[in-house]
Amino acid sequence: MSVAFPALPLAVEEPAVAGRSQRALAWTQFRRHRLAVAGAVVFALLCLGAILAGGSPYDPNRTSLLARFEAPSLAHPMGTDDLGRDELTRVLIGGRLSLAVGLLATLVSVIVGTLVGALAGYLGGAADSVLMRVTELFIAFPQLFILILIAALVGTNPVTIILVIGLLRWMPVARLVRAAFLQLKQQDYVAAARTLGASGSSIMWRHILPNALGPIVVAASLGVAGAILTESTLSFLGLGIQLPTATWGNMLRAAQNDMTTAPWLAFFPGLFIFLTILSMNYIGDGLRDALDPRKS
Amino acid sequence: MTRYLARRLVEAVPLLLLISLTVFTVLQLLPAGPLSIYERDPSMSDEDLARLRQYYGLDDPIPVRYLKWLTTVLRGDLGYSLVTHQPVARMIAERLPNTLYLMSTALLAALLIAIPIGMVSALRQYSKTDHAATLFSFIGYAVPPFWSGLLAIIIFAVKFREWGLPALPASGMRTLGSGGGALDLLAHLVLPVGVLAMFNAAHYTRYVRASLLDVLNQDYIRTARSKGLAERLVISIHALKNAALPVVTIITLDLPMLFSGALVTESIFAWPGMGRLFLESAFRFDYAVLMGIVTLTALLVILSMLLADVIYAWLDPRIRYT
Repeated sequence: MSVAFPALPLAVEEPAVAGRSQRALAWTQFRRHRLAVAGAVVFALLCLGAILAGGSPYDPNRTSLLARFEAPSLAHPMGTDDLGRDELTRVLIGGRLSLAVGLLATLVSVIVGTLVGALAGYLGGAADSVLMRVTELFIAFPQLFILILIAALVGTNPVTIILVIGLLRWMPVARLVRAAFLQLKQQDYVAAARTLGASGSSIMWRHILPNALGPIVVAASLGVAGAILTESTLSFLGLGIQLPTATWGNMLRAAQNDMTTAPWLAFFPGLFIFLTILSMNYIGDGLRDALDPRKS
Repeated sequence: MTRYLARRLVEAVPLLLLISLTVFTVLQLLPAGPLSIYERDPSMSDEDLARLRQYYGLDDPIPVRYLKWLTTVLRGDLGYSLVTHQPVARMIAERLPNTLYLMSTALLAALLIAIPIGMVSALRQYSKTDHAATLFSFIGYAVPPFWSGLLAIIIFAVKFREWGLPALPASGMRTLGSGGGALDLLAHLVLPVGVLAMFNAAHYTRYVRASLLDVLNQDYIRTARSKGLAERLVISIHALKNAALPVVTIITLDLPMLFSGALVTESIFAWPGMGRLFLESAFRFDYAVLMGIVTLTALLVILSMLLADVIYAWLDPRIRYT
């Protein structure tokens, strides 16, 4: 005998909801955050400028002693520097290293932070408390001092800078990932996977990690802003990537000598750092609204 | 209270040991080390370097070297500068007060900016004022202190002089040749403190706002309101003190940021502080001074965390001094 269940009215609305993935929902939410969208556009333009900088009619490193300290004009929208180089071209080229170091250093910190956070959250107990004490230790430490020390003693090629910045900035990611793992490992699907005989590492990386991606992406986007600020601080102090290779930080350092004659040299590279960090922070804010289930 | 303090002090010791051990080990594992300054000197032969390694005990295993270093440091001996040959402790002692002037004034100024803005922002959530405050903090987050420092020098020192306005001094702590005095020091403090304070105020504003909003949603605030207490009293008696707790914690956790900010600010404004000494030593590969300052900074950060615990206990009567 079969029992006919009355059709639930809810089922009628189902087609409208079906087919919208988690990602599509997040994207809709992100688009509603107007400043985040504006941030994404500005950041895309900054990256595009850095990529296309090679198309400039000027050579970023060719000096021209006849064209020193020219004020901004149509031919040189940002003027020229102490060696007659076009400032706009150098700012765009400088963006390459600044952005690349920021993004790659964040990649390093996300990998380390995810590893530490996942192990601490999943294993719990003694491993958790040891890993979290180590994390706190790194947080308590004045990072810029260590960074300067290492940069001064080891030297300043981009790879070293990326690794060191990355290894000093993984703590926020580790804490977020740990919190997500602590919560997710209690879920039924984890218990189900364990019952089916999945190994610890398979549960951690294949079952829990994909569900913890939201907070990782948010932390990463905010981390990029911090990493770019760190890199430019180091370059500004003269311990980052060295001249003549342009970075926003070392251009500002050079501009310190010409503040009375050519104040615009101190303006534009800083403006680009400012725009990058501002847009990244708004993107991070928008991503948090879109991906953090606690906030919606 | 004394017992509570003593217990916290004892608890801080292992953390300090662990930090110093970590830093020491990392620095010893680096390809360059204490002898960098000599390795860069072309007149040093490999035999000379080997003799120096032997002399300084650099061939010993790391734990042995750490213990040696620790026992010397505990006696207050940070060694001698490899460049000036002065005792490191004395070099730092000359510079540390200047950094502390700068940092404490900046911290105070940042709090004076952030607390009122954060409070208004939370009390009028989603109002125009709140949006303006949010914009202020987002902009403050994104302006690198070294950029705002350069712009401040260009506007308030260079341009003001050109325009015939009273210009502010842009470097050092005292006007050379003048007798100095409190007013002169104050004038020199304005720009560096302003730059450092704005950067930190942007962060603190968010903390104050978030913390106060959190408290305002608590049940006891609703109770206070429903028993007919004037809003002004609800805020001043019930909300503010409780909202201060998390703010104290976060600001202490942010102290390393203040130290880093002070280093950058000292570099821009030629402020003769510890951060500048650190940078100068980095360029000269003066390992002894670098190691001494890193150790001392870690110590200061831990002591200030301890101070935060004490303030916390004082603000929150639920914490017993036992």
